[in-house]
Amino acid sequence: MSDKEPWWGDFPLAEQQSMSWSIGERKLVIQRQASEWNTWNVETETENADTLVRDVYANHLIPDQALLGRHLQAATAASLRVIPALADRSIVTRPKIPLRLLGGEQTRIYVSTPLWFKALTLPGDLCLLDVPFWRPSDSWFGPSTREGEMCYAKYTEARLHTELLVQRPHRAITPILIHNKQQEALLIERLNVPVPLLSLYQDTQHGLWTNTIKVTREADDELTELLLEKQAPAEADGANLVAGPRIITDRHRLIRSLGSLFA
Amino acid sequence: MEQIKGIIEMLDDSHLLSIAQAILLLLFGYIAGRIVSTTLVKLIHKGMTPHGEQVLKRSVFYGIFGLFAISALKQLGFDLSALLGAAGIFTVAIGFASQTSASNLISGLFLMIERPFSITDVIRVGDTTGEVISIDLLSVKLRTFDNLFVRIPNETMIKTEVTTLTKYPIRRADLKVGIAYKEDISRVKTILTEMAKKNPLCLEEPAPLFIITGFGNSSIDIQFSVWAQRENFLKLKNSLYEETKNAFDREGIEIPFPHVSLYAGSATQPIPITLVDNNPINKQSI
Repeated sequence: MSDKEPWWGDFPLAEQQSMSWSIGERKLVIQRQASEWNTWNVETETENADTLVRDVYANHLIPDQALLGRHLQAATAASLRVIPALADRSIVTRPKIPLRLLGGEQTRIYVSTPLWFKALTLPGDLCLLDVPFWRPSDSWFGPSTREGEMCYAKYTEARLHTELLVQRPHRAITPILIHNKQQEALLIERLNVPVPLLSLYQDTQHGLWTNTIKVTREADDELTELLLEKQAPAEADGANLVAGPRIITDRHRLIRSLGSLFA
Repeated sequence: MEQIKGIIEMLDDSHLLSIAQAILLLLFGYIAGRIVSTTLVKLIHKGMTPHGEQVLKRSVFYGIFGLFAISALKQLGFDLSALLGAAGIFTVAIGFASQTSASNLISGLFLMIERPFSITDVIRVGDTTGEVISIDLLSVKLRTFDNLFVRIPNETMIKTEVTTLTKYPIRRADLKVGIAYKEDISRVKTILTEMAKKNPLCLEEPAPLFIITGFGNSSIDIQFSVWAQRENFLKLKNSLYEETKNAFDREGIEIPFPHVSLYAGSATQPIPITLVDNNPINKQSI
């Protein structure tokens, strides 16, 4: 696979043939047999910044351990669909140093979130594999230990400029536009990004983006309006849709209390 | 013809006919109650908890069965108003006779109103921990994790402390660790915090707590508290204990076991040691 090619798409796979997706030591292998799909998941502890390589995999190299699953099907089809997906829970990102958005100001920050690898059968789109490249740590987001939701946690650099962004094949970038209409500064220690509601887009360089989230802190009350834009962000050149949201909702405008977005 | 008339008269006299009718009514009430309550629960079970389902099923069943039982009594010729009056006196008598059952019954009603737990919750009562499989008028039934059936009277449930383990989505696991007095506490804190950070099951927030609980007999006692999703609680606790041991071994941090220092009488003189060789061959060579 060259760098110009994306790691997702529809791939032909002959019987007894295996295909792998690897980032350094991290490896996912899918093998097609007459009436079953076998999947291997070789995990590593730490995330690495290597490029993602997709290749036809020699069967004798397949590791003995780490067999993740055997998926039975009357007759397997000659091709396989692989798509990237966003996390299955919201992600709580934490800037290393808390940000303060001054009163009446607005800003656009970029947060990159980890991706899941999803393999589907063709036709039918039956799910064979839905695993993260690197599982983010669990976290809890809520006003108390009694109320709240399970999330994933992630530290973020909260970049302000696109030039500073590093596109990684196993991460997607979410632009967040924050508008503080109040006079008081808005302190952002944590930010809850509802990724299961977002779609994934690819730009011409096969970088992955999600739609923009617009967060507005209204002038008169403590409620915050959360708006999910319907189209790809302006930063993604020639973007086209790669995957829809995990949770499909008709409401693009969500009202949340401030505490459920920032903390 | 005369014979048949005779039989009917005899039946009338002996109340056999009304007894048979009453039995039929009871039977019909039982079957109808069963069918109606089961069908109703099947129809509207969506969005209902198992607890709610059971309460609905029972109230519908007892309601229908009760109505049929009353008509059965009427069929037998009982005057219901007199019966209800008698019931008052009966209640007092029965109350005295079956104090325990009555108290369980009332406790059961309170439990149903208060609802500190519901079916499928995991609770701990005294030394028993298990999953609630039914909440009845007299007792609560638990299935323990070693698959035993435990019946706990409702009176006990009302009187003693009951802990519901599955009330909230996250739980805290307290790891008790002891380190030797010579170890650097801040280094141990860093190692444990890093370890928790690497484990994806350990919640980033609420953040892990590092508490020094005191100076023990042979170790500095530490409590390292981490949060986990309820379902992963045991998995995280086990894996962290294992990882702690591995990390301490790797970093050369001693986990001491109780030891005793012996002093020989006057201050610090060492205890004299003599080496004895019992091997006769060695003795000869000497």
